Amino acid sequence: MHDLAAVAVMVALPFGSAPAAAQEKTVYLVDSASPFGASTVTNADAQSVTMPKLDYTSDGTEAADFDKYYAFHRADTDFATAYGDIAECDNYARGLQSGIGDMQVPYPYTGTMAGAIGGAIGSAVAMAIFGSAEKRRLRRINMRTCMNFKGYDRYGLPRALWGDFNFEEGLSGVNEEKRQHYLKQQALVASSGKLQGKVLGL
Amino acid sequence: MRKLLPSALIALSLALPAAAKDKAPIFVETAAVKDKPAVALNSTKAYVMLRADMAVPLYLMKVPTAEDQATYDKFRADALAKAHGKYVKKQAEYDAAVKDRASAPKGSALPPLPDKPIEPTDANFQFTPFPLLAGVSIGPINRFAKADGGLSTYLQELTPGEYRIYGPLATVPNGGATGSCFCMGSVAFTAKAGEIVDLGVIAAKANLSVKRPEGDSSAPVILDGPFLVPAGTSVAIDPRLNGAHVVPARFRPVGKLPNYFGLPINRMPAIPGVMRYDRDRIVDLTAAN
Repeated sequence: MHDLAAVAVMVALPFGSAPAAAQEKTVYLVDSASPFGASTVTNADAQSVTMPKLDYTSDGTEAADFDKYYAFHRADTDFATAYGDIAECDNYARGLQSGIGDMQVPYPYTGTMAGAIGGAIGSAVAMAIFGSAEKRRLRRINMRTCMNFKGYDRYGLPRALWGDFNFEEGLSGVNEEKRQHYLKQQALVASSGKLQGKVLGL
Repeated sequence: MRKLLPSALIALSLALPAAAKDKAPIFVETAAVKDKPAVALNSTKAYVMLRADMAVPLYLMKVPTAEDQATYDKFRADALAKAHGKYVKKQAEYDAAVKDRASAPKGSALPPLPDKPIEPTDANFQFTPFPLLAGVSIGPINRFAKADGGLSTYLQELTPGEYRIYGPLATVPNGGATGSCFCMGSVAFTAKAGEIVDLGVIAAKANLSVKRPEGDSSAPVILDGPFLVPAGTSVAIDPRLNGAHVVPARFRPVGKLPNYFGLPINRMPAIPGVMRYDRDRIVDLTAAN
């Protein structure tokens, strides 16, 4: 019987035959580490990084944009560890698809050259507007997902403060030198910054 | 006749330098088993069965054997040697251009100096990684069966070996992909020749239809319930497979991989007896089994 109710019941059932979680030995998988290689940044490197301004007086409106403008922090985390974590997450979050590149633009005369060109222009405009926004959004999703898995809390920031040590990546990005500069500042905040307000969660 | 698609060919059309396209080794041959009245399975091939309560995609990547790895390493080394040969020529052209400039009369119009070429080395050579030459795309189309209750069955023929679940994603012909990757932790299983390995059931409606909170455009969707559950005996196997040797998948945890397709990232939810997470570190629970 192909019974979906049965499937729902099975959701509660585990694979494997070892229910005795109490007997578990903690064996970490060797390749739990970053797939992008180990970071060479050390705690001593923090001395050359400037802590950005993080304190602000709320005007009551900035929270509406906390889905976009935020910083991460985790207690008992040193600079080198935070940098390694942020750099790993950044690698998952760069070079993303916009999700719109494959979309066919509806155009009533696609059988003609003019129609094809019209569609192409439409695609280019849509890519420039929505593609860039979607790439920026995906970057935020991946950074938030990855840093959440790593146990970092997220705090909101006003856009102006956020912009001093963060970058967005749409159809164009930042050069590698700037990227590393920002990532190190983010690592400094993540390890020793004093962020105000409540923890936003995921 | 089913047409086997070497996954290398699919990947090559996306990511490999043009010069290497004609010599790519084939690590995986795969094809969906189609929904026809009679099914003939090939005893030299392995089969993967997946069931879900809606049409779903799932992307697998072969875990390289020692032989696969050696073949890939040679393939990459040959490409590096070819790239280095090109570099030597470009460097000679660059050196000649520099010499011409040095010997040109002052004030004479000179062509712009080309960029100094960068020597490709084993460390900096960018080349298609093995997993992209050994992918298997299952679903969401090409269902083997769809039951009245809505349960979809996929049956995929593939080269025997060990495969990692890369994520619920589908590739599209022009090189894009949709879905998400289990880049931050997943599981692998072995598919043996002459066997159908049953991955279990994806309760997709519950897992993949999570809504983002209102007002948060960038909220991640974390899978916190089981992704795959064992089919058990209450979910019948299609009668056309009655004579086949069906075995439940035995999973082992596998580590992180890059976000090859540039998608939202995720990870395989913890599986009791197989793996769990300590923050982002993967704890292997099979070691005690």
